[in-house]
Amino acid sequence: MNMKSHQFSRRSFLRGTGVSMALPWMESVNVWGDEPKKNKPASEAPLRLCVTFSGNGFRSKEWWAKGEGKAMELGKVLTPLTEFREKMLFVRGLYHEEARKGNIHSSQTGNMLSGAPIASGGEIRSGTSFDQMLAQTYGRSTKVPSLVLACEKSNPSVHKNYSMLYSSHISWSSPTTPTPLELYPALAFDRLFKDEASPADKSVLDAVLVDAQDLRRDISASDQRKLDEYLDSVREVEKRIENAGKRGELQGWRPTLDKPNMKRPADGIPQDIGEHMRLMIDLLVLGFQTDTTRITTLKLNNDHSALRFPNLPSVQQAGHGIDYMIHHLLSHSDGEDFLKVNQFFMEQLAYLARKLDAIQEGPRTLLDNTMIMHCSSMMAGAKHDNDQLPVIVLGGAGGRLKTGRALDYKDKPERQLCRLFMSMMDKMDVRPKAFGDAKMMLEEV
Amino acid sequence: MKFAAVLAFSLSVGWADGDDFGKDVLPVLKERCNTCHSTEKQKGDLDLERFTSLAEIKKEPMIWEGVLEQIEMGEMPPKKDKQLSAEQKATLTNWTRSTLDEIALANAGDPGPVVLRRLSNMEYTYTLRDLTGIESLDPAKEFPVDGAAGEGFTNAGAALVMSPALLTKYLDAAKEIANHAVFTPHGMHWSPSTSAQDWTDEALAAIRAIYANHTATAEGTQTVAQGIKLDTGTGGGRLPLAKYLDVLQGRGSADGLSTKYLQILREALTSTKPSILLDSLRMKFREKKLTAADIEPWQQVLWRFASVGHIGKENGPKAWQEPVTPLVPKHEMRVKLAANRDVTLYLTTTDVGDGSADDDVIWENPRLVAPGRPDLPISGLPALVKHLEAQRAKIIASTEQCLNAIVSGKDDADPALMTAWREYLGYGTTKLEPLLTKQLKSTPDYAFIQGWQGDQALGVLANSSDATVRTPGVMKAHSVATHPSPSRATVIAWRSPLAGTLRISGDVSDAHPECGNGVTWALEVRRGHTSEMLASGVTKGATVLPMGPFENVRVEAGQVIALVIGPRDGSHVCDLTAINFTLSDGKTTWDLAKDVSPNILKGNPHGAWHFLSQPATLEAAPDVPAPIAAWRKKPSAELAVKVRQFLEKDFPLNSPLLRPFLSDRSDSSDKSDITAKAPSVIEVKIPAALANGTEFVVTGKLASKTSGSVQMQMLTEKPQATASLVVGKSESAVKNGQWSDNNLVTQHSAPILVNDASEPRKRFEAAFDDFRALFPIALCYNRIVPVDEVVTLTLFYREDEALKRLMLTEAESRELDHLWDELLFVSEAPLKQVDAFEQLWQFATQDAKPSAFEPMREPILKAAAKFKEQQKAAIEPQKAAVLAFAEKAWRRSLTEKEVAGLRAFDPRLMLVRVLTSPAFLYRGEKAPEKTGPVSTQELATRLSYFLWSSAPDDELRSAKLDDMPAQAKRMLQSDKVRRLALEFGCQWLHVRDVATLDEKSERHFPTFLDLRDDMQEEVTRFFIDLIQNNRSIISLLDADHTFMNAELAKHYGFDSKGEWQRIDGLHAQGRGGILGFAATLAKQAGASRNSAILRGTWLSEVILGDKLPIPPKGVPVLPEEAPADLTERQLIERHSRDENCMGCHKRIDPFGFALEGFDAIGRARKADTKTTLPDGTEVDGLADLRDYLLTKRRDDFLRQFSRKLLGYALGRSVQLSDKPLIEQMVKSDLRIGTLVDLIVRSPQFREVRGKEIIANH
Repeated sequence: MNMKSHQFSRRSFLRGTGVSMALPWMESVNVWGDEPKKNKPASEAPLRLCVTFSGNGFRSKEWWAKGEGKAMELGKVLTPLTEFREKMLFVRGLYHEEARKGNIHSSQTGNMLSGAPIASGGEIRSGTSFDQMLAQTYGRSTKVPSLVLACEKSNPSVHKNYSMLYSSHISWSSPTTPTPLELYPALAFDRLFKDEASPADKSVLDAVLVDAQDLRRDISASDQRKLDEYLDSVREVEKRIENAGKRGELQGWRPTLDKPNMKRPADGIPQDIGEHMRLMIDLLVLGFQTDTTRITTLKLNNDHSALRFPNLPSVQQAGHGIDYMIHHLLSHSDGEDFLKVNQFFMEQLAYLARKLDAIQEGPRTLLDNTMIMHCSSMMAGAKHDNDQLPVIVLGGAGGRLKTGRALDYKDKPERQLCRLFMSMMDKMDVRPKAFGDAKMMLEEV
Repeated sequence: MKFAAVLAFSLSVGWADGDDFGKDVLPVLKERCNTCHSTEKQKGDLDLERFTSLAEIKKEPMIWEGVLEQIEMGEMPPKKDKQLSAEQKATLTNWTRSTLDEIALANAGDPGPVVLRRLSNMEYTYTLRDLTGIESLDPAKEFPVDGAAGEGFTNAGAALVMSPALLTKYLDAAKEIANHAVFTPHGMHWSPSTSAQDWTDEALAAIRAIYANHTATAEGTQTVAQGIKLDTGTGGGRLPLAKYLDVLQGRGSADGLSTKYLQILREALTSTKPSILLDSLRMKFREKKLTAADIEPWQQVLWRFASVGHIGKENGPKAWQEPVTPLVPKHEMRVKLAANRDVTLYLTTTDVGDGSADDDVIWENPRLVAPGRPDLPISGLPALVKHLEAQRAKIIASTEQCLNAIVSGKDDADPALMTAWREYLGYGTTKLEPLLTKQLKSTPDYAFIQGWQGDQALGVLANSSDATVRTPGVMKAHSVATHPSPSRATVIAWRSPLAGTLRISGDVSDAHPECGNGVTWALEVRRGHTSEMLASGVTKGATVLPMGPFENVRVEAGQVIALVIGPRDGSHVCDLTAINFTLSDGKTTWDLAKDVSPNILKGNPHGAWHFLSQPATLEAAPDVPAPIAAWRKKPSAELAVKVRQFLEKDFPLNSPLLRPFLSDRSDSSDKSDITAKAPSVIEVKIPAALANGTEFVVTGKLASKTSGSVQMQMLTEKPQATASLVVGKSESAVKNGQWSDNNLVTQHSAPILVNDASEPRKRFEAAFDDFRALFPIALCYNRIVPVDEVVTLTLFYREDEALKRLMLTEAESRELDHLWDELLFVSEAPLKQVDAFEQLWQFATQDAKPSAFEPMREPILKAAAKFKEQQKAAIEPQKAAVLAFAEKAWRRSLTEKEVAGLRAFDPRLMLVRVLTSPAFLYRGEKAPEKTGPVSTQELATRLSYFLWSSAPDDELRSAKLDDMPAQAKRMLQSDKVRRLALEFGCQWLHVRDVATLDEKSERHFPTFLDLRDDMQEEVTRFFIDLIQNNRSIISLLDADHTFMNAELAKHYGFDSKGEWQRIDGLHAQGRGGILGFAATLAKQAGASRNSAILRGTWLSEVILGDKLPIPPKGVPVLPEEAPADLTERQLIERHSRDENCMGCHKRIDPFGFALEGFDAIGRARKADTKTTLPDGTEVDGLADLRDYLLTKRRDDFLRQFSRKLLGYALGRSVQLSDKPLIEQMVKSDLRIGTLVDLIVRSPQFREVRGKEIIANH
C-alpha cells in the first residue's frame, strides 16, 4: 500500500494510516478563533460537512437537473428538493475507477468516499474516506470530531467474495477500519451530549492506554497496526473528555445553541423508518447547531439494502404484486415504486436542508455554512452501473461554493469523483496533494 | 503483498527443477495470455508477463491459483477469442496445479496472516456470560453489527474494528457489568441484579435454602396482642423429628437427613446416663415405639417463642426460641364452673414418677371467686347455703312490703331487705368506667376535630366547625362520631340527673362506609347491675339506622342510658360511626351533638354525657325478670303481688337480689387448707346454686420447704392413673402494658412443684437441659427478617445455633457463616441499625418507655464501628478476587506491573478496567522472533474461542500443552457447542440470521414470521447433535433425522406434537440433511417466489466451494412473481436462454431446479424437479441430488466443509499452504471430532508467525 502524503494546514493534527503521532492536544487543535485564518475572521461560523448516502442507486431516468438557479429543472427523483434549487449543485458523470473492478454491491460501495482499491477474499481493506480525513483534522476542534449515523444495520456475511461490511460502510477512519455506525438515536444523542468528564472514566482510560502500550510491545507488527485502532480510540475519547470542558474558551463566534433543545430520544430503534431518519437528522442538526460536531455522515440505508417501506403504499401492487417494498428488490424492478422510495429519501434530504436553512448564523443560515453531499454507489440498481455516480451537493460552504448549477462531466476526461472530494476538502482548508485516484480539484467547484 | 513476504521467508526448501516452465508453459502463456495480461496492458489488473521464472511464480502463488481457476472455469481466454487447445489447456493446468501443490506442501502448516482479533460481539457476550455466570447479560445488544471476513465468519480480525464510539460503548458496558459484582467480606461474586436490595434478597434466599434443607414446616399460629405478633412458631425452621426417629428405628430412608444429628440422637437415646425425661423416651426407643408424639408435647412445654424485633431490650427476650422451665414452688389453679349444675372437682397430686417420699402437699385456701362479691371458701359453703336460703325466704315474704315502700318512700320495711331491693333495681348511682382520659387536641388534618381517645384509634370525636370533612371517615359539621378498637367498644352514656320518664331517639350510621365490616351498636338502660336493652343492631353501609324513638322510658336519678358501639368481629377497620343521640323528659332536652360538639374537650364527663370504653366482648348485663321489669316500669300494688308470686317459683341462690347477703358472710368463713400426700385425689363438690358464674381457685404447694416433687392439678374428670410425670400444657400470652414492655407470660397447666434451690429442682433442671439440647423445638429462625413488633428494630435476626450444633457439618457451618457475613455486609445492616435504633427510640418517647431500649444502644454502636473496620479489611480480599477474575478475563497470568496497576483502583473500578482493557477485548498473542508455537495459555484461548466462542474454563486453563486434544474432545461434549453450531454451522450455511429475516412477503407467506426462530433452531440443534455425538459430516447431506417442534412438524407435514425432539424417517418424506432444511430453502428464495438461481448459487458456492464467474453488468430483471402462464421454473429458464446468461446459468440453475419441490419457505409442493446437472447427470428431486453430491461431488463437499471449519478455527482465509491439512481432513474418518482434532493438532492452529515475517511486509 503506498502511503499517500497529505498536506494539512499548519499545526493541524498529523496522523498516518497506522499509528497516530500523538501531539499534545492543545498543540494539535485549532480552537475556533485562536488563530484567525485568511478569509475567515474569528467571528464567522465554521463550515460543516454532512455526507448522506442511500444504496442501490435511483430510478436513473428521473435523476437529472438542467439549467441554473431558479430556472433549474429537476428530474422526478429530485423534485422534493425544488425549493433548494438555488442552494444546490448537481454533478453528473463522476465515478470511481476502483469501484468498477471487482464484483457488484459490496465492492462498489466500500470505497464510496475514498476511491481506494478494495480487498476481496475475506480481507478488509479500503481507504480512509474524505469525511474521516476531515474529521481527523478539521473536526478535532469540537467535542465529537465526527458523527457516523445509519438507519439500517449492516449484514455480517461475505457476498460474492467481498465482505458485506463494504455495503454498509462508506466512512472509513483508516484503510482497515470502517467507522462503526450508530443506529440508535438515543445513543447518538449520548455521544453528542452525555457528560463524559467522569474522573473515574478518565482514570480507567489512562490505565487501559498503558495496558495497550504494554501489549503493543509484545505483538507482531501487523497486530500492532490493528491495536492502534484501540490506542487511537482511547486517546480520542480522552481528548473528548478534556475538550468537553473547553467550549467556554471559544473566542468570537458562538453557536446559536448552548445545550440541546430536545430530549434524549427513547431507547431502541423507532419502528417507523421515516421517524428513524428524521430523528437522526434532528440529532445531526443539533450537533451542528451546538457546534458539538462539524462532520457527520448519515447512511439512510445499505447498499444491497433489505429496508422495507410499509409506510409507502405501493402503486404497482395491483399489477405486479410487490407488496413488500424491499429496497434492493425495488431497485431491480426500477418501477414507479422505486421512484417513490427515491423521492422519500430526497424528502429526508429536503427535511435536513430545511432545518439547517431555518437556523440563522450571522448573515448566513446554517445551510449556507454547510455542505451536504448526497450520493449512491450506483446509478441504477437494476443495472449495478457505476460509470457515472449520482451526486448532489446542497449548501454554500460559507460562501465558498457557487450553487444553483448543474455540472456535467460525462464526456470529459479526468472525471474522478475524488476530485470533487478534494474540492470540498479545500473549502475546509484541508488540501492533500492527491486523494484517491485524483491529483487535482474540480476547477468548476 | 503480505503473502509474498511470508514466502520470502519460508521458501528455504529445495525446489524441483523449473525447466518445465521455460520449456512447456511459458510459450503457451506468451501466446495465449500475455497479449492482454502484459506488463503494459495489465488487463483486469493482471500482469503475467513479469513471471519469467519458477522462482517468481513461487513468490506469488495466489495469482496462479486465480489463473488456474479462470482457465478451469472456462472464463479465460474470453469466449469471443480463440480457445486453448486441449493439449495447451492440459499443459497449463497440470503444470500450474502441480507447482501449486508443491508450494503448498513446502509451506504446509504456515500459521498464515492472522489479524489481531477483537472479541466479536457474540464472543464478547458469551465470554462475559461464562465469566460471570449471568446468562441474562446482553451487553452488545446495541453495539454496531460486526462484519464478516476471512472465510465469511464474524470471528476474523480484519472485520472486527474499533472506534472511539465503540470504545465508549465498551467502557459503558464494563461499568454496567461491574455493577453486577457483589463485593463481600471475602471477595466478590456475580449477581444477575445490580441493586443492593436484590443482592440482599439473594443472600437471604441462599441462607433460607440451607435452613429449608434441614428443617420442616410446622403449623403454628401468630396472634396479635397489643400490636405485637405473638408467635407460636409459625412456618419453617422446625426440627423434623419424625423422619429421624423413623430412620433410627429402622424405618424410612435417611436420604437428605443429617448424619450428624442421626448420630447425636442415637447416642442420646442409647446412653445409660440417667435423665428423667430421656429415660422414658429411651424405654420406648428400645421397643422401637418412640414417636414424635412422645417428644413434641415436651418441646411445647419446655420452649416458647418470643417476638424478636426487640431482643436485647430491658427485661426483653434473649432469643426467639426461649427455654421455659415448668418448675414452681407454688401453683395457683383456677377453674370456671359450669352454670346451673352441681360440679365435682378432683384435686389430684402425683409424684412425678420419682417416688412419693417427702411428697406431702397443701391445697391452700380453696374458694369460689366471682366478680363484685367476696370470695367464698369452700369449707364455708354448707353454712352459706343455709344462710342464703333463710334470706331468700325473708325476701319473698316481704316482697309487696318492700316494693310498696320504695314507691311510697315509707320506711317500714327491713332496711337490709330494702337495700337488697334498691341495689337490685338500680337505685343510686350506676357505675361508668373507665372514662376516656386522653385528649385528642386535633387530627393531623383538622384542628377543629377534637375528642377523647384510647388505644388503637378508639375515641369519641366532635367536629366543631361548619365544614363537613373527611378524616378519612366523614365528619359532618357540628356532629359527633365514635370509633371502637379491635378489642374495646366505645360507650357514650348519659347519666340521668332526675327521676322520670324519657323520650329517647337518635340514629347510627357508618361514617366510612367504603370499607370495613361496619359496627355493632346497642342502646341500653343501665340500672345498677342490670340493664335493659332498648335496641341493638349492626350498621349496614351508609344506611342511617334510627334508634327509637322510645317513649316513656322510666329512669331514676343516677341511672344511665348508654349507646355502645363495638368493632364487630374484632375488625375496627374504617369503623368511624356517626351518632345522633337525643333525650328529653318533656321539659329539658339533651342533644349529644348540640351539647358536646362545640367544646368536647371541656371535660369528661361533659355535663350528663360520659365517654368511656368497655371490652368489646362484654355482654349486656341481664335485665330483671319480666314480672319485676313490668313492676319497675309502672309500679303498682297489683304488680308487686305478681313479683312475689314469681319469686316464689323462681329465685336461685345466685340471684343478684341475694348478693348483699354474701358479703356479710365473708368475714366469718374459715380459710381452711387441705393437706394431702402424693399420690392422692380429693373430690370437691360445689352446689349448682353457688357455682354459676364463679371460679374455683386454689393454690397448691409442698408441705416441706426443702424437699419433695409433685404435680398438683385440679381436674374436672376423675383421673385414671396418678403415677407418672404429666406433660401438661403451656400457654403464653401478652399481658397488658406498653409496647416497650416485655409482657410475655407463660402459664403451665401442670407445672412440677419443687422448692427453690432444692435437690429435686436441680435434678429436673438438668433433665430439661438434656432434653432441650437434644430436641429444640426449632432449629433456626428461618424468617430471618422479623416483622413482629409495632416497630421492629432488628433487620436480620440470626438464630441457628441448634441447626449448626446438631445438623451441619463444619463445612456447611462455615458456608452458613459466610452467607451471613455476606448478608450483613451487602445490606450494611449494622450501619442501618444505628439509624433504626434512633428512630425506635424517638418513637418510644411518644407513647412508651424509651429507656427500655437503652441496653441496646451500646452493642449497636459497637457493631457499627466493627462493621466499618470490616469494610476496610474487606478491600484486600475483594481486590484479590478481582485479580483472580482478571486472570480469567485476560486468559493469562498477570504481570507484577499489571497487578500493581490494577490495585490502584477501587475493586469495582478495577473490574471496569479489566473489562475495558485490550487484554480482555483483544486476543493478543505474543509474537516470537521466528514462527513457532504459541504459549499453552494462548493455545487454550484459541481452542476455547474455536469451540465455545468464549474464554477457557478452569479445567482448560490448567490443562497442559499435551492435553489439548483431550480437552477438545471434552469441550465438544459440552452444551457450549451451541455456539459453535450457531457461529460456525449456521453462519456457514448462511442461516445465522433466519430468525430475524424479514424479507418474506407476508401476503404470500403469512406463517413464516412465527416460524423463523424454529427454522433456525432446527439447524442449530442438528449441528449440536452432530458435534456432541461425534457424527460423520456426511450426515449433513444424508441424515435421515432432524429435530422439530410441533410448529415446525406441521410446517413439514410431519405428525409430531409437543416440544423439540428428534424425528427420523426424513428420506421417506423427500427430505434429510441440509438440502431439506426450511431455513436454507427459505433463505435461498425470493420474497414471494422460489429462486432456483439463488439455491443453485448457494449449493455450488457455499456447499461445494465452486467459484462462479461475476455476473455480467446490465442483466435483464426478473419479475418478483412469475406471470400467470409460466411456472417459476419456466420463468428462470426463459431468462437463462439469454445468450449472455446461458453459460453461467447452466452451471447454477439445475441444482435449484432439483429443489423446486420446496416452496420459498421450504414447504413441500408438487413441481417439475427433473433436470440435467452441469456434468450431464440426470436427476429428479432432492434424493437424486443428494446421491449425486454423495458420489460425484463428495470430495468437493468435504473439502469445502474442511476449508470453512479451518477458516473459522484460524480466523483467516484458507490459503494454499493449508491444502495438505485439508486433504488430510478429507481423507479422515470424517467424524467432526476427528476434523477438530486434526485442526487442533495442526501447526497452523498451534503456531504463530514470527515477528520478522510480518515486519517485512
